[in-house]
Amino acid sequence: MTHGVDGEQAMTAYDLAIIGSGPGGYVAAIRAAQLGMRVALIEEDALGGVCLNWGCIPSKAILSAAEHFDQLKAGKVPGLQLKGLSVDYGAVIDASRKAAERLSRGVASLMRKNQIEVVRGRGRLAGSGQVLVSDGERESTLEARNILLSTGSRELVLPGIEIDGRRVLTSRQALETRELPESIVIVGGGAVGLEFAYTYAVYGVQVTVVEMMDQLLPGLDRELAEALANSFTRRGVKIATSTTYRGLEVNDQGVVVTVEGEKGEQELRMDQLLLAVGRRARVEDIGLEQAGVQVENGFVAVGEDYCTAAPGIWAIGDVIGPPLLAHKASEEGKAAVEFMAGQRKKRVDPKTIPACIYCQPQVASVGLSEDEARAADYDVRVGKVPFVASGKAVGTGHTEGFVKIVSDARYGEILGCQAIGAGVTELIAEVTLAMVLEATVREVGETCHAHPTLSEVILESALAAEGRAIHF
Amino acid sequence: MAISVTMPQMGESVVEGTIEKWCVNEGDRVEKDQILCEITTDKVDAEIPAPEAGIVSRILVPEGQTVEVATELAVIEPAEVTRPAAAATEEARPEGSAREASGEARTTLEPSEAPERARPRASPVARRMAEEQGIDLEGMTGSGVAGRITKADLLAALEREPTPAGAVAQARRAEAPSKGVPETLGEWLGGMHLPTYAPREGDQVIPFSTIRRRVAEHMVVSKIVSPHVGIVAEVDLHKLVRLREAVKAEFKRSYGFNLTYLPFVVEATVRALKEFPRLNASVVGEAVVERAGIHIGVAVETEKGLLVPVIRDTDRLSLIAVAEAIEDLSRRARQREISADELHGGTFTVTNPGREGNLYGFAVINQPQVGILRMGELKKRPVVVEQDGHDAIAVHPVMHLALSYDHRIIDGVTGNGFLYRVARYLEAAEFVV
Ligand SMILES: Cc1cc2nc3c(=O)[nH]c(=O)nc-3n(C[C@H](O)[C@H](O)[C@H](O)COP(=O)(O)OP(=O)(O)OC[C@H]3O[C@@H](n4cnc5c(N)ncnc54)[C@H](O)[C@@H]3O)c2cc1C
Repeated sequence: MTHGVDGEQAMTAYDLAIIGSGPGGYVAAIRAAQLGMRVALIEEDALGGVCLNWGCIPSKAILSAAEHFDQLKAGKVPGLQLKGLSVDYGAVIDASRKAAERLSRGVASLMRKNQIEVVRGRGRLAGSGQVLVSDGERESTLEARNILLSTGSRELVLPGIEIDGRRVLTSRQALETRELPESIVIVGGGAVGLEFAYTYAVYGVQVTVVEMMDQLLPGLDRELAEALANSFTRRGVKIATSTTYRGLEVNDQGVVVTVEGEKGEQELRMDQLLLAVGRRARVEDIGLEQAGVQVENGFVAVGEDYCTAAPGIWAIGDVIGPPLLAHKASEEGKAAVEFMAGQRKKRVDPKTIPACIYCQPQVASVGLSEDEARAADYDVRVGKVPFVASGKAVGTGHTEGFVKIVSDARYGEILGCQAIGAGVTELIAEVTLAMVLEATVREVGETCHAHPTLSEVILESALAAEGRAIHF
Repeated sequence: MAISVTMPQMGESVVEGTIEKWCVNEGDRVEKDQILCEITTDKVDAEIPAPEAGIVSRILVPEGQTVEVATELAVIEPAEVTRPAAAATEEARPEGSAREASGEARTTLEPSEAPERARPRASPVARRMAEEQGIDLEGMTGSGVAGRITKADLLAALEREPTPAGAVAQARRAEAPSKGVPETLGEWLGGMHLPTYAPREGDQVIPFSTIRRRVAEHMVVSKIVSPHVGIVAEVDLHKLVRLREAVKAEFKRSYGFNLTYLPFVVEATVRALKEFPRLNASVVGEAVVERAGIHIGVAVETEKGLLVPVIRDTDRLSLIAVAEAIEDLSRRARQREISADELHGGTFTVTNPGREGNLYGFAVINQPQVGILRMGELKKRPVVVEQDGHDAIAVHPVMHLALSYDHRIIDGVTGNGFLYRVARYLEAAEFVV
C-alpha cells in the first residue's frame, strides 16, 4: 500500500489528515479529494473499519445465507422438495470473510483512484496540526491544516466478563467462529444481538435473548418491537425482556449466566454467551486531552459543524455518538468536509437517518415514532397497512409485518415511518427521501407505484394516513 | 413596500371564502389590527385585521364575491409613505398587480394543479404552511438546494413577522374545542385504532372478492349511519302451512318449481307496507322520503357473497308472480347472470337465511332503506290455542320474524305496528294461490 512517509520524523503537509478508515473516514476522504484537498487517511487495521470488516458487511453476508436456508427449511418455496437439508456454517463464515476482504480491497482502490494517501499505522494527535503515526517499527509525523477523527467504536464489555473467543464472545469473535453452538445466550436485544439470534435460530441453535429494558430494540417504536418479539418467539427463540445480566461462570460444559428478571434470579446453562450490549467510542490513547478535544459521556463532543473544541480538529461517526450507524458516519464525513470547505450550512438531520435491522422479518425506522410525535405535540395521523393487504406480499409468501407512516394532520407532513417485514430496509429509502424533500402524505399518495411490488404498501400507508387507503 | 392582504386558510378543509362586508374604503387610512373586512366560509365567519398601519390603496375583491384561499383581497401602503391616497393607487402598485387588476386574481393552487412557471420552488410542506398562514412565497428565496423554500424558512419568516392570516388561523384553532377532539364522525373514526393482527404460520389469506368488499363496506356504513332497533314477532303458521301443503304439488306441476314460504312473507310485507309507508322510505339529508312504489329486495346468498335482487313493483304482482320473480332472480343471481339494474332500487328487504338452528336474528339494514325483515326457522312448537272457549296446548308450526328498523325516522309504535300487521297477515293466511 502507498506509504506517504519516508522514514522517521518525516513531515508532509496535507490539507486534511483523517484518523480511521471506516465508512466515516474513507467517505470523508473521497469527498475531500473531490473538493481538491490533499488527503492522508491513517488506518492501523484493515481499510473500511468495523463496517466493512467486522460489522455491516460480514454480518449481512451471514444473514443472507441464513435467510436462504430459512426459506428452504420452512418449505416456503412452493413445490420445492428437499431432503437432508444441512449447513456447513464454516463455509458461510468463509464467504462472509471473502466479502469483507473484497470490499476492503475495493476501498483501497477507491483511495488510489482519488489520489488519497493511505498511511498505515496508529495515529495520535501531536499538537499544532500534527499527527504522529506509528506502525510499531517506525514513527512519522504528518502535518495537516485540518484533522478529522473517525476512530469509530469497539464492543462494550461488561465488568467481570472476559472475552475468551470460545465460550464468551462479542460480535467480533462470533463473526469468525466457524462452528455453531448447540445453545447460546445473547445478552442485549439490540440490532446486533437480534441479527445473530435470527441466524442461530435458523440453524437450529437454541437461543435465549436477554434484554434489560422492557422491549426489544429499545428506543424504537414499541409496536415494531412487539411484532419482532412475536415473530422470534414463534421461531422458538426465547425472549427475556426486563431481564438483567448479573453474573457469569465459565466451566467445561459451557457457561452459566445469572440473570435477574421480574421473577427473580435465574441461571441459564448454555454452550456460549454472546455479549451484544452496545459499543463504546475509541477515544483512548489518541491524545485528545492534550489537544483540547473534549469528551462527553464517553463520546467526542462536537458542535453543529462537527468541529471539536480544538480548532482544526473535527470528528464524525461512531466516535461522536449515537446512532452508531455506518450511513450516519458516511453522511457526517461528507458534511464535516463540506463545513471545512465552507460549502455547507446544515448538519446531517438526525430525523432523516434511517435505522435498519436485517434479520427476518426486517425492521426499519426513520424519523419520529407515533409516541414521539404525540409527545412533540403534533396532531398525529398514522397510516398503518399490513403486508397481507399487498398482492405482492401474498403472492411471494411474505405477509408478515406492516408499514406505519406517522404524519401531522395539519400539513400532512411526514414525521416518520416504522416498518417490519420482508424488504422494509429497502422500502424505507422512499419515505426518507420524501421527508428530506418535505413531501406530504399527499404527494406520496399521488405517486404511482409499480404493481405488484412491496412498495405499494408505502403508497397505501400514505393514503391510509388520510383515511383513503384502497386495499385496506 | 406594499402589503397584500389575502384570503386566509381557516382550517384544513376550507378552500374558499366570501367577502361579507368591507369595513374600509380605498384610500382610507387604517391602524394596525383595524378590521378591514368580514368574511364567511362554509365553516366559520371571521374578520380580517390590517397587518400594518397604512393606507388601503386597493380593494381587489368586491363584497359578496367568493374567492379561493390565498387570493389577494386588498393592498395596503405602509404608513410611512406619505403620499396622497389617489396617487398611491396609481403608482404604488406592487409588481404584477396590473395583472390582478385586470381580473386575474392571483391564487395559490394545490401543488398538483399549480402551473409550473408561476411557482417559486418550495417544498410541499412549506407550500401548505404558506397557504394556511397567508404568506406569499413569490420573490422569497429559501435555504434549500438552489434556493428551494423549506419549512424552516417559513418558520423563520413567521418568527420575524406573524401574518394576519396566520393570526386568524391561530384564533380559529384556539376556538376549536381543543386539539385532538374530532369534530366530525369521520375524523373521530379515523383516529380509532384497530386491533393488530399477528400472523401465524398456516394462516390462510383469502383476499376479498369485489362483492365481498362491497358487502363489507356496506355493512359497516349501514351500522354507522342507521341506529338499528330490532324487534321480534312469533308467528303461528299452521293455517299457512295447511294452505301451502294443499297447493304445493299442483303448484310444482304448473310452474315447475317449489312454492316456498318466502313469497307469502313478501306478500304480507307488501300489505303491511301499504299501511305503514314510513317503513317504505329513505332518509335523504334531513328529510324522510316515503317511496312511491314498493320494490322488495330479497337477499340471496351466492358463492361470491350476498346479493339482493329487487322484485320491481311488488305491490302490483300476484303472489304467484312474486314467487316466479323470486325464483327467477335468485337463480340468475347464483349463476351471476343478474344485471346491476336488478340489484338497485329496492325500498324494503326480506331475508331468509333459511338454515336450521336459527330461532331469529337481526339483519343489517340495506341502505338507503330503513327496514329489513328476517325470517327465522319454521318449527313445530307448543302454542296456546282456544278450543270451545277453553285454553289448550296445541302443536303448531311457528316462525319468528325479526324486524330491524332505522330509529332515526321510525319509532317504536310504528315499528311494532308494522311487524304486528305482517304477522297477522301471515297467521290469517288469506292468500290467493
Ligand atoms: C456486528 C455489527 C453489525 C453492524 N451492522 C450494521 C448495519 O447493518 N448497518 C449500519 O449502518 N451499521 C452497522 N453496524 C455499525 C457500523 O459498523 C458502525 O456504525 C460504523 O462502522 C461506524 O463507522 P466509523 O467510520 O465511525 O467507525 P469504524 O467503522 O469503527 O471505523 C473506525 C476505524 O478507525 C480505525 N482506528 C481507530 N483508532 C485509530 C487510530 N488511533 N489510528 C488509526 N486507526 C484507528 C479502526 O481500526 C477502524 O478501522 C454494525 C456494527 C456491528 C458491530
